[in-house]
Amino acid sequence: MSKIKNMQQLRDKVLKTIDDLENKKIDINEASVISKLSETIISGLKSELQYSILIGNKPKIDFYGDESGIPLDKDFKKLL
Amino acid sequence: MKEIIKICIKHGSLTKELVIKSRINSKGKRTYRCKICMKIQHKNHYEKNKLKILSKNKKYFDEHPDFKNRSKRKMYKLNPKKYIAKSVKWDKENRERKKDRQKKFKTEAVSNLFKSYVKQTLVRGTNLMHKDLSDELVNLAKAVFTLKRKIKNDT
Repeated sequence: MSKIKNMQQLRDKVLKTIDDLENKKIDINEASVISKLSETIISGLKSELQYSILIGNKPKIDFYGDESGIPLDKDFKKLL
Repeated sequence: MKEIIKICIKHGSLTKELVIKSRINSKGKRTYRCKICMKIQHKNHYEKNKLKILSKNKKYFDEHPDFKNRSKRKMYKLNPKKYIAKSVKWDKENRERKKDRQKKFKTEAVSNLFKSYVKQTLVRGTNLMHKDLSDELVNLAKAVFTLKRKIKNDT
């Protein structure tokens, strides 16, 4: 599995998991692990954001990636 | 005394409130038409060509989905304070209906994962504000929520 480097990639991974779960390519246990991991990452991101705001700096988080955003895939758009 | 702009054969002398603007003539003067007569004429035309007009309108609405309430939105932009005050007054007079509306919106926001709902969930218990969260983070959270719901439904 390729390494996830930013939020966009994680988002695509989560959406792919939803797609796979719908098509029964993966089981629920695997999907729940991914969802729990993503939740942990989100809470970590929130903490980092909170910290940077408390200090008074603009958040510089690598995982936050390019904020302009990579557009969603056509197949994934319908899932959200 | 109000100025008489036009004299109608049926309705007599008409002031500004009782006329609608028509074309500008060759001398460069604005001409007017009787409002009541035009209303009757338009009504007759509509009744005669109802199907044709409705189908034409439907075609136009399909081609221009943003057309709906365009004039309302335009008026709101011109004087937002007036419309806000109006809605606040209405809410005070109809508290029950306001509550119903809020309830309906809340259920819709939770089931369809509105951006505002996702942001509120992320912000809860932190010192973050809605503006601090980027769209990307919201999208990610939205995806995770969807996955969680799917897992919950499957088990």
